[in-house]
Amino acid sequence: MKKILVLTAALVVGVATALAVGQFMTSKPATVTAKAQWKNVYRTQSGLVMGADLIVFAEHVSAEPGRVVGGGEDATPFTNNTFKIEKIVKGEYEGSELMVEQTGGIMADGRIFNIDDGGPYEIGARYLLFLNSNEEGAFYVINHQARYNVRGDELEGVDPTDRVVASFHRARFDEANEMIRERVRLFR
Amino acid sequence: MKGKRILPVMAMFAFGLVLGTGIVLANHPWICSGSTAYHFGNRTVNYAAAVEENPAGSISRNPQNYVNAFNGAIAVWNPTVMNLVQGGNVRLRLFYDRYGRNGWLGLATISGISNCVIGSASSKLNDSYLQDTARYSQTAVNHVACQEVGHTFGLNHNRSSSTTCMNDTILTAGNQINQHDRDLLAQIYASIP
Repeated sequence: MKKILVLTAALVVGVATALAVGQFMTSKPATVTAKAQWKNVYRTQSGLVMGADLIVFAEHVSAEPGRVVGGGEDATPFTNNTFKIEKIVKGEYEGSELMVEQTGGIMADGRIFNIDDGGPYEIGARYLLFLNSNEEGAFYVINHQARYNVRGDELEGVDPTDRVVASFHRARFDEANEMIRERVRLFR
Repeated sequence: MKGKRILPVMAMFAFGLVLGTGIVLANHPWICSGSTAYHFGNRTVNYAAAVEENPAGSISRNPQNYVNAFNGAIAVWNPTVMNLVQGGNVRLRLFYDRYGRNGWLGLATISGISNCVIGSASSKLNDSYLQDTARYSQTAVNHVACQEVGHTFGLNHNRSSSTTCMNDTILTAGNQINQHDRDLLAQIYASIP
């Protein structure tokens, strides 16, 4: 009887702890927070790999304000991010630097506009990026599944609760590189 | 001996942690803080009729398609706990435009946030992709419009059902929401007048 009570108490404390941590885990909302319906959302790692025109490991070098669609408080700003390419895992690209357009940035009134793709890039940080190009030749990160911060030797995805993100999240740099190359080989 | 006794207690605690985390994440709110979703401070939300954001007339698809999609979205969310009223002190704006080939079909924005309460919001449809009528049927446009409006009330994506526009892995639900969406909204706005 006592054992059951102790076990029940442990269960209750566990649930309460999880709920309390959830309550106090505060996210810091940007001034303008955006959520997208991405054109392509993949169900498998293979889908993401095959859907990308270019997959690179790259270091973020700089961010410059880009174009703006609309005006006033509802305007949609874009940011031009420059990356130094460390390694091309899929696709072809000539040059050592790459410009990636990102939805979001600093608005005319100084507010920060963040979309759910992981937000602004850190200068000097390394990333694994799954990219597509548009008709003007500009690259963009496919969606929230397509960006990984390389922390030390490990990848960190934007939303690890996503099945595809989870398949790369916490993978080592070399492991991820090999997983992608294997997918490319399989579907060639 | 003591270790053997503490083991089941620790296991039960760990199980409780998993269960508790599951409770937090089981629903699909757009989380602001802890388990609190972003939300308007009032169930009555004034909205403006859908317009081209940059009125340059550069839209390729028939603009009426976007207007119809947003009208359908308003019609489907209105019978929930939300009360959507056109005009007045507008807090929800509906736009369509050519935002470029940047990866997204639609976008929901929320701003002026204080204690998870949304000051204003917008829903946008991207004509740069949606102009392709062969690829994106009116049902697909309706799906995106419905989802982007749903986000502004505090709902996140819901991949567990194909009968709701809040599923971001499909474009086939059109202007359709399910009981889960209604229940979740009722939960989020339970204490909101």
